[in-house]
Amino acid sequence: MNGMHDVGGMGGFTLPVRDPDEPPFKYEWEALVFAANQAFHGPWPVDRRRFAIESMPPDLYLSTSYFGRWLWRFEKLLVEDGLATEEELRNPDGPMSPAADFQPFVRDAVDHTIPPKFRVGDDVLVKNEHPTGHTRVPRYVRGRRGTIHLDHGVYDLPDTVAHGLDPKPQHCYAVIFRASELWGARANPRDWIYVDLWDDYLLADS
Amino acid sequence: MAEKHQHDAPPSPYLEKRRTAAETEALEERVRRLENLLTEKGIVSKKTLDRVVSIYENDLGPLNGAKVVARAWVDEAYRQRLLADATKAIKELGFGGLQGEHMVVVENTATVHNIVACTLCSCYPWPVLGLPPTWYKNPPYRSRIAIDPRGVLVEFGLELDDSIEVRVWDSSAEIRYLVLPERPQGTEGFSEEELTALVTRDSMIGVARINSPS
Repeated sequence: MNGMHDVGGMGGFTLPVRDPDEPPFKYEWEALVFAANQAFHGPWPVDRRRFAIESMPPDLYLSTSYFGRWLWRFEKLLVEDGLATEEELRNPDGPMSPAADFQPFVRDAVDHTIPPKFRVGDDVLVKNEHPTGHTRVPRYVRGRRGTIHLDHGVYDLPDTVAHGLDPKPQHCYAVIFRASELWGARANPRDWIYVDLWDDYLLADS
Repeated sequence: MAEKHQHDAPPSPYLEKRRTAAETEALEERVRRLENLLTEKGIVSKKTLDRVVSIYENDLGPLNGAKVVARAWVDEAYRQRLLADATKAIKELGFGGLQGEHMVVVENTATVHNIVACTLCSCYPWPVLGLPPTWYKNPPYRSRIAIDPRGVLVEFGLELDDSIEVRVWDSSAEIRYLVLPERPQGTEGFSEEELTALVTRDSMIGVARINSPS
């Protein structure tokens, strides 16, 4: 979806001061939220987890810290899958229902013999699509022309796996774009951007 | 130059979320509830939670990546294996796993400068760099690195000559990128261990160079 997460190319943000000795977690609650996410994948493939954060209302996304977004997502998915209720999350002293059964998300190995649609060096056009569900095409490359730089091999298309639909394993490539193709005259002619894109996102540009 | 730019910048809300004491307390309480709920329902054990935290606080970090870089600097055959199949070459040094299953290493040279980002979320090569720093995960870097990479580098204290080609890698799939920085001048007699100590996290993201030791 065209969510707040898709920020590539936006202006107006101020870069922070970098702390070279920043610890992985500044607060104990951040470590706990991270650990809960890592320890319990449950029925949640990575793209479903990403989509949960992408669904955050834009004002909430921007006003919530990084691990705060993870916390919001974790609670949302627990409730979605019946593993906890809103009431339980808000009222720790109330009665606790048993967790609903869950099937851990397990994906059989993808079929690596699936043939690629494109070869290294092929010119491609990124489809100009704006799905309401999950996708990994940043808005700034939609409708833009690039070239296949590297074939990474076969990976599940995020767009279906995020929503529990049938997997669509296919080739994923590093596609190289001239910065000027994306940003016009503002771009430096010696700048390039590489974006990893799947077969279904691309059309031949001949 | 880095300090000048950084001190001129206004404080960013993304460096650390500015919360009141009451807000922080409410957040801590909310996470305690979540932890209690997860362990009481048997969804996750406390032991598992503690183990995960310990791994990411103690075992992973940019030192692993620094070892990979130093090895590539001293061993030409390793450098070639690293550029040809990074996942495999990194595994030779014992590093791999979650968020490092599909690695690509890109090399900085006198004429090419690579930078790694994730504009959509916060994808980062955990086994070699640890967890990403806050600035990498938040909108200011993610938004600007795509459209103004040279400007971001200047603000971070690195001015690139206009003749240098800039390549930004937006980690939009499951492939994780690591920059092989240039070996600094004046390190000809250095041991692999001494070289490892010079390699910084930011140089392996591509937002800094490694200074010559003086």
